[in-house]
Amino acid sequence: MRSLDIKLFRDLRRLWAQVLAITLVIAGGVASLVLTIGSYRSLDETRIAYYERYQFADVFATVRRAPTTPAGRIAEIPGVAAVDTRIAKLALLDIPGFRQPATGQFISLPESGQPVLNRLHIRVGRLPEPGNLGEVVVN
Amino acid sequence: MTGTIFTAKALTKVYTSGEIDVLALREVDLEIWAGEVVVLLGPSGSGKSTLLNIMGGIDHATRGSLFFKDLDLTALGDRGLTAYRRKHVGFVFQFYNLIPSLTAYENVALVTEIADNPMRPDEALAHVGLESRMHHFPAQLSGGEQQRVAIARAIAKRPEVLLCDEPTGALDSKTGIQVIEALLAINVQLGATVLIITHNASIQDVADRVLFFADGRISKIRRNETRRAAAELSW
Repeated sequence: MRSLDIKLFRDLRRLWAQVLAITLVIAGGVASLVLTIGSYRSLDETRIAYYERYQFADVFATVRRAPTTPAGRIAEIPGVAAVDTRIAKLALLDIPGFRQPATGQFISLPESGQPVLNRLHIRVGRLPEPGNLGEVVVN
Repeated sequence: MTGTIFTAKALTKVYTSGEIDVLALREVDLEIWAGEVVVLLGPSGSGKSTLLNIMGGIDHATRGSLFFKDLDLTALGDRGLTAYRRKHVGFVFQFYNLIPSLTAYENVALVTEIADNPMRPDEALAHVGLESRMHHFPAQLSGGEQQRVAIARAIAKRPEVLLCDEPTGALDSKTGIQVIEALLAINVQLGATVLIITHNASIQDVADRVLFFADGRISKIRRNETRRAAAELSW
């Protein structure tokens, strides 16, 4: 064994308490890092899975008073997998218990079933009945 | 003596501190002969250590030239100087610089493991009379014994030059004489050129030549017609 190796082993033996403390600190740090990376990846994969399951759109575009016909041409653009159109409008809401009117956003739904993109996750209740204009989904 | 081992011409060293230039060595001309024992005497700041450091390849000269045999030390870069130090030079310092967690044998082995054609560590320790203490740690040795281990470490690679900067500076008279005896024995047994820096004027009598330094220059060179044995010294 080379003299420098002997020196290393003797110094480690002599300073065992400090070596142990430093090892524990490093092990704690590495464990924290592994847990943090694991949590981050888990959250990231969950987000990706959620977006896939509910067909969350990659691109949004807002236009005013546009016809629905360009949607077909947009769907023909290479790389576009799906196109969906909807109407979104802000409105003042008079909610009981609120001193001032609240602002709400109304978003249209297809006449029946889920939209093609940005599908809804229903926590309680159901989607509006087809043709029933008095029902909404509240977020 | 078989020829010059060091040749210095107009060797100058300037240390710059802010806007102030300090001339540590002023155009020193010098020849050192192979196999000589040379003592460098002079007050602090007179340039002795600066000259020794440049000769040992630890420091660079600012101007002038310094040859080790045919090798121009002033033309070498850091890598070249490292190779020069490793191959040709042994250093002994005032404070022994031994590694406390290694025995005397292992401290010497540090050098023999990386040197070309070294002597065995026990052989090097035998040269300084410490073969019976080779398995002792520095803390178990006296100051003189530690310095002799440092000498054994310096000579284990069979250097042609042994540069000693105040080797007895931290020792009492008795142990200092033992160290000088060890250095002179190395000079005789291995033929190494030995340069010794000291403040102790008593040591000059063991040298072939004595270089007196003052203000960055060699103010006087004295040749001793007869060298005294180390055992005859006292201070």
